[in-house]
This record gives sequence, C-alpha cells and structure tokens, in this order.
Amino acid sequence: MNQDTHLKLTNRVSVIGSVTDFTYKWGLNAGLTDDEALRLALAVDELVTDVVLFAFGDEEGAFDLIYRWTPSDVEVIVRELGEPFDPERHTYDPERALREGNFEGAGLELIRHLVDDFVFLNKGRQGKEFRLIKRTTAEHIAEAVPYEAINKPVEPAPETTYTIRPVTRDDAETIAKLIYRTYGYTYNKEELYFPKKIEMALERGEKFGVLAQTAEGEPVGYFAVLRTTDSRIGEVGEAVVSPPHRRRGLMKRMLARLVEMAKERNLLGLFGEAVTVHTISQRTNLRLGFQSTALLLNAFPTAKYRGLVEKYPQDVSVVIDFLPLKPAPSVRRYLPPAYLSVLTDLYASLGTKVHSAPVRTLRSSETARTDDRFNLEYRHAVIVVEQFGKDLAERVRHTVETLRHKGIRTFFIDLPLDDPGTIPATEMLRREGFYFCGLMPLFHRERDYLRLQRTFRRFRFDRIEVFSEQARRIKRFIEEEMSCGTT
Amino acid sequence: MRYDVMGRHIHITLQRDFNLLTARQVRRLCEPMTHVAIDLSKAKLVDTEALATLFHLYREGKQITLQNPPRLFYEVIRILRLTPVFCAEGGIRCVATRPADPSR
Repeated sequence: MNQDTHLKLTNRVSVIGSVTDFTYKWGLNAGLTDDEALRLALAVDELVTDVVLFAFGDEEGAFDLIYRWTPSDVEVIVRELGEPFDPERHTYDPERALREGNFEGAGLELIRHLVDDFVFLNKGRQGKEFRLIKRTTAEHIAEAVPYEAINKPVEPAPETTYTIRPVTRDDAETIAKLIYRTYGYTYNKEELYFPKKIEMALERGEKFGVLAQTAEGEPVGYFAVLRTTDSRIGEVGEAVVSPPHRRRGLMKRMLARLVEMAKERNLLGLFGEAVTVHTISQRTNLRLGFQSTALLLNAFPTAKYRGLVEKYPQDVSVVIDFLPLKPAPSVRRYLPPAYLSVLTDLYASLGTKVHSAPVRTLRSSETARTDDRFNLEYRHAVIVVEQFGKDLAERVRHTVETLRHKGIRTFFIDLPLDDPGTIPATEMLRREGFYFCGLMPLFHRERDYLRLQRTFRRFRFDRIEVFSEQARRIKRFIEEEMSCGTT
Repeated sequence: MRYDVMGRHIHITLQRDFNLLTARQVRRLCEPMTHVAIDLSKAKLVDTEALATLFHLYREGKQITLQNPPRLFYEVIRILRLTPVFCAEGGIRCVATRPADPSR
C-alpha cells in the first residue's frame, strides 16, 4: 500500500495557488502545526513558482509533486524534466535586491529557512528532484510524566491474569507513558514519546497494536506493527513489557494476537530491525519465529539510540528478521550467480523453495527509474530500482555523490528478484563498490528484493553482534566478500 | 481581488494569497497609480514574487501601504533582510487596521 500522494501539474501560473492551498491542508492533516504547515506551503509556493517560470522556458511542460509522511517528518518531492538547473548557482544577495531590485535566488534562500532540510538531486535523464523535509513536533511525554517515576527498583509483580486487546487512539498517552516509564529516554522510536503522534498514526491506520493489561486493568505491555508504505508487510517496531511483568510470556501472546490482526488486514509478512550492539532483540525475534535475512551495515548513527548505545564506537548495524504470514511453497527468481547459494538458503529458511530462473534475452531500456529514499538524520539512503536501464550505473554514481555531500554515509540498493535485469545489475553494482546485504522479502509492492549495500563509514566487523546461525552466516558472507576485494 | 480607484489612489483587497498570479494583477492595476493600499487580511502567504512586485512599485515612486500582513510576512522580510524598505520609515508601510487573526 503506497501512502504517497501524487499530483501531476502543468507549468501554468494558475496552479500555484491551488498547490499551495493543498500543501497547507495536507500538512495540517499530516500532523504539522498551523505555523509549520504555512511554512511548508510557502516553501512549495516558491519552488513551484520557479518551476512554472523557468523549468520549461516558453514550452508547455508537466511536473510531479509527491507528498510523503512518516510519524517524525513530512516530505514534499518536486520532480521535473525541465532545463538543467543548479540551485547553488542562484544565490540571493540582499544588497543586490535592495540596490537593483534583483531578487534572484530569494525563493531558494527562503525555502532553506522554511523547511528543516532542502535537498536538490540532479537525476540525469530522469530530470531533477527537489526535496523539502519538515519534521513534525508534538508534546513530549516527559512533559506530562515526572522523570522520577522511572527507574524504580524492579520487584516481580504479584501473580495475575492478563488480557490482550487491540489498542485504540485513546490509548496513545498510556502507550507513551509505558515506554517512558520502562525505557526512560532510551527507546529508539522517538515518536513513541509523543502521544499526539501515536494517536495520529493509529487513526490513519499507519500502525496497529495490542495492549496487555493485568486483571486490575493496569497496562503493562504494548506491541505494535507499523505498516510499510509501499507493500503489504509490517514492521514489529514497537514493543515493551513493564519489567515487573517480564518472563511471563506476554511478548509471545501479544505477537500471536498481532499475527492474527495482521492476517485480518491481509498482510503478507512481518519484519523486525534488530540492533547488533547486543543480541537481545535478535534473540526475541528468533524465539518468536522470525528468520534473519539481511545485515544492514552502519544503518544508523548511534544518536538514534540515545542513552542506549552512546558509547558504541561505530554506527549501528541492524539485522532484518522476517516472519512470512503466507509463505509461498516455491517461487522462480533471477538469482545473481555470486549470491545464488546464500539466497537459496535464505528462501529455504522462510519455507520457500526457490528456483533459479535462467536469463534468456534481456532488453534494457535507455533510462533506469529509481525511487531514492533517504533520511539525512539517519544518514542512510535506500535506492529502490523500479526499472532497469542502461544508465543505472551512472545514475547510482551520481546519486551517491550528491547525497554524500549532504552527509549520507551508507547506501542500500534494492533490486527486484523477479526481474532478469537484477543479474547484470548486480555485477555492475559490485564493480561500483556495492556488496551483499541480504534478502528483503516482499519489501516493495509485494515483491522480493535483493539488497546491496555500500558504506563510507569505517567500522569493525567484530563489534557487530549477531545471534542466529543464519545471521552469523550472512555476516561471514559479507565480510568475505568485502575482504575479497570485489568492492 | 476587489479594488476601488479614486483618482490615482487605489485600494486593493486580496481574496487569497499574494503570489505570482496576484502579483501580476496588482502590477497591472497599479501602473498609473501614485498611492497603493493593499489589504492582506485574507492572505496567509506573501511570496517573493509579490515582494519583488511591491519593491518595483516602490522604486517607481509609488506610496505603498500594506494592511494587515500575515504573521509569516514579517519573518520572510527578516530572513531576506529587506527591512530597510519593508515596514520601514520612508519605505513600504505595514499597518494593522484590525485585530490580528491568530490563524494567520
């Protein structure tokens, strides 16, 4: 399920007002305050005005706007195929403006102040892309709960019975309190400290979850699935059990209920991202029946895990653990020879026999199409290949170069395994310095992807702790590939 | 957009944001005028195309008054360091003729 909103517009002056109005209302619905929504709307007004006035000269042209939100930020992407343009070359000079009435660059200068991040991507023959990113704000739960309430000595709670029930939007503050009282500031999902964000995510169906309560009605556990935006899978990304109620099988009971709920919602699988600073989450996932399918090196800076891994001396790598809800008994996939064995094993662990499909004739279009997703805060990018093309290597090289300047340090590329183009593309990307990351089952549009990765951060493999035999094998495989000099 | 003309004085009331489209209309209407008053009560946004238009009208020697600019307008002026002309003594006047609307 893709939750992006797409607008296709022509370069007429009359569209500016409408798109600005739409952006403002969309921003409010996405959780921005009135002030923030106005700022985003003005930024879009400035950008769209530039596109309308300059991108296509006197010709008629069309351009796209894509609106995307997550619990922590909103993003507006403007894509156009107009004349080449480099925003860095159009700087605003206030003295020139006052002296000569020349306001060149004023709109871009304003945009930089109005949004949290403004990124320009030159995508070669695929045109240009401007990204406006604004982070959402809300009241932090610490403002409502005294800090002394946490860190109480842990005595096991008296024996009691528990009920597991679906959460509703009215539980938002309860969930935030439970997280805060259990983890203090160390829980890695920042949005769980903001009741308003939880409420909105539940209301919009962005996530669903369960709450464990004692016989007395005290909430002591929470487990939720976050739906991904472009496929029918979900991330078991939020889980907490109050310390006095641990070791009573609550996690397992909550997951069993979540699996039922996920099936009712026609989800095809669940996955978890487990840190490798320790193996606690990986052990839990394994116990719950998940299988490790990928190891994402240097996926997040330690700052994401405030209070938990501050002293960890390198970026945090994560293991992808996957639980298929409707495993396919057998599938045909285009498996690159270099990864045939490891991918076959990963499929087998998910209960699927994979048949390697032979590549007969391969027609490649001129232009590749990718969906580039990046998070400047987390400093990683995921490039999803939507269509293979002859310029893929050049495009990837350019995207990597552009985003490295913006502080992105790790790059992942997802290649669809049901497309024969994956086989030559894998070899080409290996020559570009990418190496194996793992299998991402059903990760985009219900299709399986091979994920490759490349990191520009120094790290040591021996600091990456993995638990399951399969995760150890993936780690070993990547380490060998990197040390063999294919990168 | 509504407007009243008295001799070479014009009073314009914008019905929506002050952007490229409205800026072009304002520029046309103000061509022969010496005094321009624009009521921005219904505008949430004033963009840089509008600012450039106002600046050019001002440079042509017209006396300009902006009534009830939205809150964000003042921030934009500060960001672009245009305070020597906008809302300044001898420059483009900015006045509030009605209580501020908290939603703007």
